[in-house]
Amino acid sequence: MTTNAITTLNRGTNAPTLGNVLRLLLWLKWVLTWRGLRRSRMRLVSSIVLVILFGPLSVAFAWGVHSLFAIVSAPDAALITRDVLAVLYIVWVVTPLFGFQLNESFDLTKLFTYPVNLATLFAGSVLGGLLDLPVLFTIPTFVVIIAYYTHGVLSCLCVIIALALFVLHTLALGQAVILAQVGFLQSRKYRDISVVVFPTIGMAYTVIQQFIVRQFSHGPNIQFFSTPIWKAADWLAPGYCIGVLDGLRTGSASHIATGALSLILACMVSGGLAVWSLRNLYFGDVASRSAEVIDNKPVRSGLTDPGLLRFLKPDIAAMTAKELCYIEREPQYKMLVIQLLCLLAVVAIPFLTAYSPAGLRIAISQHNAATFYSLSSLLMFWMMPLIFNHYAGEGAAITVLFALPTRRRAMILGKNIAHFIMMVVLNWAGLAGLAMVTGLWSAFPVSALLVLGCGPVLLAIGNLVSIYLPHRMFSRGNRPQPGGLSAADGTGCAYAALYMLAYIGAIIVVAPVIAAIVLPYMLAAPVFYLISLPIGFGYSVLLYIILLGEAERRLMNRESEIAYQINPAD
Amino acid sequence: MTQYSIYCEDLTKVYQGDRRTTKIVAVDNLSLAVLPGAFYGFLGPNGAGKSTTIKMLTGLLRATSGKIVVAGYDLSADPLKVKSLIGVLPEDLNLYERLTAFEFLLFSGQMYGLSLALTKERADNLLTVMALDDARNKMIVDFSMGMKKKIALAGAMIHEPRVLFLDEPFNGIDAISTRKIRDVLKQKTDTGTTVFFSSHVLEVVEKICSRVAIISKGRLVADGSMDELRALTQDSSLEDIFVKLVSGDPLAADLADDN
Repeated sequence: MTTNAITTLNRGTNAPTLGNVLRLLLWLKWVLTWRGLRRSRMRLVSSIVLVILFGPLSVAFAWGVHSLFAIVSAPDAALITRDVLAVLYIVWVVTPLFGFQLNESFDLTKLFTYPVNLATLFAGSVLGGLLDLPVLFTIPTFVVIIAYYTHGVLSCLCVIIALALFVLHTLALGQAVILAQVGFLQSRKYRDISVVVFPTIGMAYTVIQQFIVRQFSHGPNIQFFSTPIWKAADWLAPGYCIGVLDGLRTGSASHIATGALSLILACMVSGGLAVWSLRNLYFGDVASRSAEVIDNKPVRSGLTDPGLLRFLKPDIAAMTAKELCYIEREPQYKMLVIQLLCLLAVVAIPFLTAYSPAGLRIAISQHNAATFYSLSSLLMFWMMPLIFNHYAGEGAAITVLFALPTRRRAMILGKNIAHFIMMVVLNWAGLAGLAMVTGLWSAFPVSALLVLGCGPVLLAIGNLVSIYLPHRMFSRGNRPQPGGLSAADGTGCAYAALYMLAYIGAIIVVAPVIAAIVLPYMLAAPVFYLISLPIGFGYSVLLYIILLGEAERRLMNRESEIAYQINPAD
Repeated sequence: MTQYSIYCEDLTKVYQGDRRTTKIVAVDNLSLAVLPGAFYGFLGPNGAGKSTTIKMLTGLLRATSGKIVVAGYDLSADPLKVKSLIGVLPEDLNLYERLTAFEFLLFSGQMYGLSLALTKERADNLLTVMALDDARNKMIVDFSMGMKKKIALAGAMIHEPRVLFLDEPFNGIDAISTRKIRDVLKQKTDTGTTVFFSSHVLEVVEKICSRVAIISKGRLVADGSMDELRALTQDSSLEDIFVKLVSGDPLAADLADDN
C-alpha cells in the first residue's frame, strides 16, 4: 500500500455497533490496567500485596458470613445480608472520594471525540468496573449469599438477577461519583475542602471500626445487625435487594415485586445520574468553572505585607514569606495537619473509650509529664517528613528557585524559619488543647520548651537530609504519596531505609536537648535548669549554625540532582 | 450554506462565574464560513477563545447560543454524524499512553466504525506517512512530543474525515515534525479535506493557509486570504497584521464591530 492511499476520500463511516464499542472498551480497560501494572514496579507490587492481603480476607469475610448464616434464624440472616450489602454499597460509592486517581481507562473524556453516544460509553465504563479487583473480591461473599437463598433453579436465577442489579446499580453510582470528580469536584476549591473533609470521614471510620471491634470482641452480637443505624439501608439498594431475597424465602410475591421494581428504579436513577454527570462533563459546562478567576480582591500575605518579617534581610524575608504562603494555601500542607489530627484521634480513641471523662482526667494527671512530652514529641516528629524533604514542596518551581542568584543560606534560612514557626504554632496549639482538656496547665511550659529546643536540631538535620534524599511528593488523588524517581525505579525501599536511619540519627542527636529540658522536671529539681537550659539551647543553636554552613555548601553542589529528583522530566 | 465544510453563525459561549451575576464571554457572536478543501488558520492571542471555538465546533463544548453546521450536518441535531465525519486533534492530545502506536490506531479506527482489516491497512499506511514505522510497537508514553502529536493526528485521520480540527498542532514540536505534519495536511487538503487549525506559529500559517481568521477577546477581527489581510492592514507579514489587529489598534475594534 502506498502513502497516497490515505488521500483516498472515504467520506464518512458507519456508526460503530454497540457490541463492538463495548468489546473495545473492555479490551481497553484490560490492556491499560495490565500495562499499567507491568509498567510500574510499585503498582505491580502494591497490586500483588492487595491480592495477598485482601484475597484471603475476602474469603474469610465470606466464611464469616456463612458461619453467621449457619447459627442465626432466617430473619436475622436477612438483616446480616442487608448489612453486608450496605457495607459493600458504602465502600463502593465512597471509595472513589478517597485517594481517587483517574485510571486511564476510566477517563471517558478521551473518548468524546469518537462518534459513540454517552450511554454506550457509560455502559462500557460500568462493565469495565466489573474487572476491578475490589469488585472481584466480593465474589466469595456473593457466592455465599446465593447459596443461602437458593432453593431451586428459579430461585437461584432470581437471586443472581437481584444481586446483579444491586452490583450494577452500585457500580453505576460509583461511576457517577468518579465522573463528578472529573468535572466539578476537580476544582481547586473542592480539592482544598476535600483535604479537610475526607480525613474527617477517615476519623469517623476509625471511631466506627473501634466501636464494631468492641461489639464483636466477645463473640457474634446479632443485636448489632438490627441497631437503628442499619435501618437506613432499607431505603437504599441493599434494602431493595434483601426485599427480593427475603420474598423468595417467604414466598411473598409482593415483596419480590416491590424489591425488584425498586432495584430497577435505583439502577435507572443511578444510571441517569451518571449519564447526567457525563453529559455535563462532555459539554464542559461544569468543568470549565474551575478555570475561572473572577475574584479581584487583593490577596494579603507575607510577600505583600512583610509585617515582622521586615526585620529579616530581604532575601530571607521573601523566602520565609513564600514558604508561609505555601503552608497556608497548599492543600498538601493542610493535609499534613489533618493527618496529624487523624493520628491523634487514633491514639486518643483507646483512652476515650476506656475511661469516663473524670477517669481520663485522673489517668492523665497520674502521668501528666509523660503525656505532655509524648504529645509534644509526636507533634514534632510528625513534621519530620516535611522538614526532611523541604524542597519537595517546590514542585516544578524548583528549577526557578535554583536559577535565582539568591544566597543559598537565605533560601535555607527562609524555609527553616517558616517551618519552625509552623512547628511551634502547631505544637503549642496541641499542648494548649491537651492542657484545656485535662486542666493540667502546669505541664505546659516545660513541654512547650521542648519544641523550641529541639526545633533547630531537627531543622539542621533536615537541611542535610533534604539535600541528599530529596524526592517528589505529589497528590495521587487526595492522598500525598512519595513518588518520583525513587519510587518509580524501584529504589523506594532503599529510600525508606535511609530515611529511617536519618530519623533514628535525628532522635540520637536531639536526645541531649530533650534530656536538658525534661530531666530537671522529672527529678523535681528546677534549679538544674540554670545549667541545663543554657547548655541544651546552646548545643541546639551551635549545631544548627554548623550544619547550616554545611548545608549551604553542599546545596550548591547538589542542586541539579535535587531538581532532577523533585521535578523529573516525565 | 450546504457548500461550506464549516459554518457557524453568531456562535457565543458565556461562562457563569462563581457569583451568579458574573458572566465571562469567551466567544462573542462569532460567524465563520469555511469552504471544502480550505487550509484554514485560526489565530488569536492567548485567551482569545480559539480552543473554546474549536471545542464548540467539534461538539465537545455546548455553545450558549448560535448555529453550527459541519460537513453539511447541524451539530445540535446530529452530533454523532458530525463526529463520524470529522477528526479532532485536541490541544492536550488525550492519548491512551499505555497503548502502542499501532494499537491506538486500531482502537481509534474501530471506534469510528471501520472494520479491523481496513483499520489495520490504514494504520500501517499512516504510520509510514507519519514516519512512525519504527515506533509502531512502542508505547505512546515513551514518545517525544512530536511523535505524540503525529500519532494523535494519525488517530484523527484514520477514518479519513471530511474536516480536520487541529488545536495547536505545531506547538512544542521540532522543525522536522512540523514539516512532516504540514506535508501530510497539505496532501489532505489537496484532495478536498478541510483543515481548520489554531496556531501560534505564524510562519507556518503564512506559508500554508489558504485563509486566515483572527479573533481577539472572543470576537472575529479579520477573515480572509493572506492577500486580503495584507490589503486590510497595509502590512506585508502576517506577524505585523496579527499584532496590529489584536493589540488594541482602533482598526481591530472597527473590524470586530463590522464582523
